[in-house]
Amino acid sequence: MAGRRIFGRLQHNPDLPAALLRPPEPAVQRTSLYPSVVASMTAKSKASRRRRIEGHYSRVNAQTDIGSKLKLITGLQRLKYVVYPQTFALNADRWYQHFTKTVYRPGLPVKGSGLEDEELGRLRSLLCEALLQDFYYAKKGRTFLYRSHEVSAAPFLTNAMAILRSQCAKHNPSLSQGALDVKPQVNFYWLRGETRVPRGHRKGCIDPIRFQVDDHPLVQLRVQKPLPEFVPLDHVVSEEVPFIPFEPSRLPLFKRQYENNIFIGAKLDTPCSYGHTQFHLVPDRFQRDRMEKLSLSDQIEVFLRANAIASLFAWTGAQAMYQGFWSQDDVTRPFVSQGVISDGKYFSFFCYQLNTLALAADADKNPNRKNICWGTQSVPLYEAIEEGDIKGFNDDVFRQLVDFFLNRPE
Amino acid sequence: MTLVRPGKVQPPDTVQFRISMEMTKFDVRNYLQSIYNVPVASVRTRIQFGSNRKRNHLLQRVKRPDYKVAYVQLAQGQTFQFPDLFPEKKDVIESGSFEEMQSEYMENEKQRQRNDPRRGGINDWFGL
Amino acid sequence: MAASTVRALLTGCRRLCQGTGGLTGRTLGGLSGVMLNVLSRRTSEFSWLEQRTSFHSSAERRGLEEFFDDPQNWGEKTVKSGELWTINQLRGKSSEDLHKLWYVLLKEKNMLLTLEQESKRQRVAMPSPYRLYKVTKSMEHLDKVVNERETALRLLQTGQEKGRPGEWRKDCFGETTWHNFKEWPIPWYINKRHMQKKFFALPYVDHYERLKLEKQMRADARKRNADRKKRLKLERQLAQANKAQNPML
Repeated sequence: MAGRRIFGRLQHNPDLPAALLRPPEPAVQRTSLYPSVVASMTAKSKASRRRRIEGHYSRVNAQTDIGSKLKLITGLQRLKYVVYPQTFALNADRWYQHFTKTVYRPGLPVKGSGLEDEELGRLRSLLCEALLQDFYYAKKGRTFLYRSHEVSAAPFLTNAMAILRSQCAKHNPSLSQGALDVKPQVNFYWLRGETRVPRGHRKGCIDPIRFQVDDHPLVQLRVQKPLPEFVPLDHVVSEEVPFIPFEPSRLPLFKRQYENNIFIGAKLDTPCSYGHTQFHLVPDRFQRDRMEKLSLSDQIEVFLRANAIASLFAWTGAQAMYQGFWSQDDVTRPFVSQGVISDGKYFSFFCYQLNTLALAADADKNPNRKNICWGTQSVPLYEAIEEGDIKGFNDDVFRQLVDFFLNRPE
Repeated sequence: MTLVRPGKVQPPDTVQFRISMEMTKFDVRNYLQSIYNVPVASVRTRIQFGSNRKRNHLLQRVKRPDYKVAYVQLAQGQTFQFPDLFPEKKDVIESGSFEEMQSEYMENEKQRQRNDPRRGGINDWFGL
Repeated sequence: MAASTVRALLTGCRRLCQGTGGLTGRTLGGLSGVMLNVLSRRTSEFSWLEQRTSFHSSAERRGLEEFFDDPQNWGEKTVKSGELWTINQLRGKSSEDLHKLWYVLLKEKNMLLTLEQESKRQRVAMPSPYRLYKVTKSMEHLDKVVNERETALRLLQTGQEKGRPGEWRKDCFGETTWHNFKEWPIPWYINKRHMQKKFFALPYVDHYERLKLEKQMRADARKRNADRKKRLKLERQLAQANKAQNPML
């Protein structure tokens, strides 16, 4: 409180250099001769607090440069919950749906495949070659504990992404103009819900709950134009967003205070500022047989869904913020991205549509506007690899991968 | 191992225990699964520091013992709600028992102590 | 379930002992006690935990309800329970029965600890707190009996009484105590930390050793005198009583 008061007084000091001054509130057009009746700026009252908050919102909205806009939004550092997309917490997908106002729909939105059989056959052989290369031919030395996926599945997935991108570029020219990031950083910061501060010098204050996602997908593809929406912006979804009446710390989720980053994988001035597809690698600690032994077989899908929801929400949210939308200035068209989560053998596909960024307590007015995540169960791409031969190659998974890459912006 | 009522509100699948300081998460899981046949999905533990701040009549600091708390999440979607172990029970007094005679006697005594109701609640200091 | 089984074991065994004199203690053990007293268990199919949330019903949920007493006992001021197991009673039981009894007592102890903590939380008196003492003492006696059996077996098999090696050693205060050995990968004379310990008392300690001895001797003398005085007093009283009863002619 004292720090903020001093900061406030400092802002009114005219000798301060312009770079450090907070941008002034945009002037309101006055129609009458007399000054308007408004609440006080410094009083300890609800109206005064509302005026300060509205002042902040108008300051942010008045910014033309997106960089300075983001700086104003993410400028204040406070304790926030760090959301890890890959988490072993139980029922994490329901919690993450609650945090991001997402609805989960099993099954993918239907799309047609535009490739002919011989091209498909060529792609298939290239993919099988890459698969055999990493899982059979190349001799992998001894790796550290729980790091074998880094040497086997990760290079295969990177190669698969590169192959699919190059082969589908004939039908989908945006892929070749897009940017491929290897092990990028994706960060997003948002506010959702309200809580009372329990202890400390700000005890008793009503505070928004802050979240931060710091994700590291394996590879991602960004394009110059946005992907087409799957459903219209105001499409009424029948499913409900799960509501969890407990604090996020019960998940368990922990609080930390550091820089509030919003990043899609490249800086603001990049030409490719819309997302296309992300590939995520399932960590080595997550083993299906171990989960089954601990009688946690339902948590396998929960892990993948939670990963998809958190990562794709963060990516689409960051893309929306790069275009200048934020919590008080909601998106006017949906932002769409696709994601594939695999560990080399089992693949699961997810599509995410961001319909709303208004998740803060005073902005969340419309209960019908929800973000939607479509997803599949994890399906194996092949049964086994023996003697340089792939047994039980699953064509559906392959076609779905190709469909993902053929999805072109309008 | 003591099952305790949680101090802060916990999700319905979480059960809170106080365990010995030397027990680990694996010990808790095996204990519950083998002895009580409870399917355990995850266990998280923490050590609660017992305060050393209070002082006795000799101004010596009195230490309350430290203890370990385990938060156990049940598998297979099971839930648990800590029950009310001290519900109010009506005392049933059997006829002809000593308790009945006792309560009758106490009632009579109380009746004798009360003032005449016809006086309307004022005490005996006032004349008439 | 645990509560009724324990009560059965604590009281039923005795009754059975007296009733069926022919059977020996070994066959009577916990097994038959449990079987015969199954009738005292609740007849309702669903446990209280299942009745509260009736859309869940799995047999394993009887797990967590073993942390609580019979629901009929909730809110009572006193709860009846059997007597504590004495060492001689336990010495008559077989090892399997002792093993089962240990787990029954453990579950009962957990239940009582839960009840104690909840009563502290609700600021209400715990019903029959003496049960906790009985169960703890029974477990200690059981542990003692099992240790006795293990020691006997070890003596027969190896000739050693204790499983962990050790010896009587004088520490730096002159006290002679049983020192248990620790396992180390290096011999004791290379162990720097162990060499810092002193298993001898320097001559200045002799004075205090003597003082301790004097104190002990004074206490023994006091005890002996007190016994002698008591004995003489009783003899005098007895002589007077005899004289009063049979007056000398």
